[in-house]
Amino acid sequence: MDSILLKVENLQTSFLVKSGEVKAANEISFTLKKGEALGIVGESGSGKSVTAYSILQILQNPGKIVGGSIALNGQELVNSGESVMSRIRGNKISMIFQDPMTSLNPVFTVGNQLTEAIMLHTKRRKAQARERSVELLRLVGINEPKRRVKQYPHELSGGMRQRAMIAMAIACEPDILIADEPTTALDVTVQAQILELMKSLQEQLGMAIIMITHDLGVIAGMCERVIVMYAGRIVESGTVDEIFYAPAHEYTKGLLKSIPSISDERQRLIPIAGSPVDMLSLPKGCAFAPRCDCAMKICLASQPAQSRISETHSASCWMNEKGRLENA
Amino acid sequence: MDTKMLAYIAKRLLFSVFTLFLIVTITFFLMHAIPSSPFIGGKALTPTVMKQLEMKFGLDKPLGEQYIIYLKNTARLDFGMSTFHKGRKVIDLITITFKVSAKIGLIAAAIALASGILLGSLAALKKDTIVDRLIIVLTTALVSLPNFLVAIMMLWVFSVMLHWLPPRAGAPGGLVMPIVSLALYPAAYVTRLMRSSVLDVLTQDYIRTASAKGLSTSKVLLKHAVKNAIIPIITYAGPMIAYITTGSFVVEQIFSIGGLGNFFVRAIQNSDYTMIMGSTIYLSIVMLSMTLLCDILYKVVDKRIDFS
Repeated sequence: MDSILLKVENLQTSFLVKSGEVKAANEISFTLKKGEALGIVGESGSGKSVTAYSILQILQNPGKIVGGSIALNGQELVNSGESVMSRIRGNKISMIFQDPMTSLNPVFTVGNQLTEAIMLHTKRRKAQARERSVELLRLVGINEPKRRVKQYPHELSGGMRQRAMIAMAIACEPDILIADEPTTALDVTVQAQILELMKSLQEQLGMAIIMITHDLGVIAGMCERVIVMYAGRIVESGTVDEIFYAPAHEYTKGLLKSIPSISDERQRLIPIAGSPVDMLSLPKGCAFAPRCDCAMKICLASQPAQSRISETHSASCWMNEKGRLENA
Repeated sequence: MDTKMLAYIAKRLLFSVFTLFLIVTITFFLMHAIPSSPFIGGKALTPTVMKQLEMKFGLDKPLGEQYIIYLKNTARLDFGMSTFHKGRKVIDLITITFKVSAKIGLIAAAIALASGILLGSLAALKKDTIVDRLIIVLTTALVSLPNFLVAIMMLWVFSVMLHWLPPRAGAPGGLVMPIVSLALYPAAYVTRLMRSSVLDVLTQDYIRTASAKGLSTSKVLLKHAVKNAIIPIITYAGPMIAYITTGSFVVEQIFSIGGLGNFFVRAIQNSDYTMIMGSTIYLSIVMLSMTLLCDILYKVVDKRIDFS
């Protein structure tokens, strides 16, 4: 269980636009163990999706990995070339997306899109791939799979389409499933079903999951470890317990305060003041400092170093260094 | 899906027949509203001769009765005898000239669609590069130039100056210039349409899904992008093919081609009443059938479109 499956080191992904360079993913480092569920949380534009797209190298122009390393089972993926990547995508690492309504091609049947993925990575012939498609649809809990394979995406409900997307993603029993906000576009009741399905598939197939979300509830229910991102950087990472009960970054604390709680009676939600930073002109110091209640002079002046709180828990916040700074 | 599809086709067919009936009726009454007569022009006729001619062609009958006779004949595609080309049936003239126009037109349409789809996709894939810019400039110029100008310029360059191609369609190689001058505008238009369509499709989520599956870039484009991107082209192609196969008066006139476009305009100049009415109805039939065909094709390609 402890073997490292994916190792991302100092990943740097930038969008080179006319007005400058947007460092969408900045010095991202993390590891993913076999069978583990890792959550990446952050608000829109924090770089969580870009990190995921970088792993699969499906960034849209002008996005580009400009530095760092991504290794799958020790094999370096950055600059490995299209032919290597196309054998990894959908086979070793697959991905499901936020909007199931638009993520399936409207002009091909569900079966066609499933068999395509199967035939691409396995030696199965068309008829066998068809059978496997039906089997997969059954596995993800779609009723009447034999009829569904012949249907077009628009004939399926949102929840069913996301199930079909999951079926497509697990078709080749990947080592890693990246889920980019898989429940955001779905009804609350369907959300729970989809998460439940992903959890059970994870156990059955022994795959690791990277769950990208802005919903801390999803993280709490699904993941063992969490990475919190802000303005393209990892600001804190730790186990679910550490992040939820002992957050060590002011941004994480803010996020936790802004979740409605069912137990607290009539408490006002505390939103994080201000709006996300302009990614084209990041401040010199901590990117969160302008919105932070506890910001100190040093926060505005220089980038906080990563402080290790425990074996599994680290955060990049000057507040953790306060004692050390005062003593110095 | 099949019964739904058939019901849809039947319904559309019914509508087309109704539209055609309206066109037939309007044509009839419009032609009667014109303060002229098929026998005016050419030699001056005495009132007695005029009367006799009107009797011979049934024009002395009440308008209602004439209309009924005309409807019955039209239903059998019998448009009567040409009043200008003596002793020739209108339907025969139309069939002969339509064949000439359709042959040139179909080749031109095929060239326009093929080159437009290819160049449009190329421009989209090479967006913002020199290739894309060149295609944009060229197609913008071509959609702005009227085809008589293009035809005359081609005639001047390739026939008069270089002596590469004959100026008349009858000579060997003579169809090259008429076909090219017919194809240029729709080719440029399809290129522009395809470019923006491909660019739009490439930003769609299902394209990202296709690459995340591990499909190669070319497979993503050829399978997932093209089938979606082609949908707007189908909408344009129907009326375009109808228009181009029924003949362009200008191009046929410049290259001396005896096509339907040429004959239709000449019929108006010659007050060839039966020919005008016959051609109008014939052109409407071609246009309506192409539109119908495209609507059906459109729904075959894109299953999201509802049949109701």
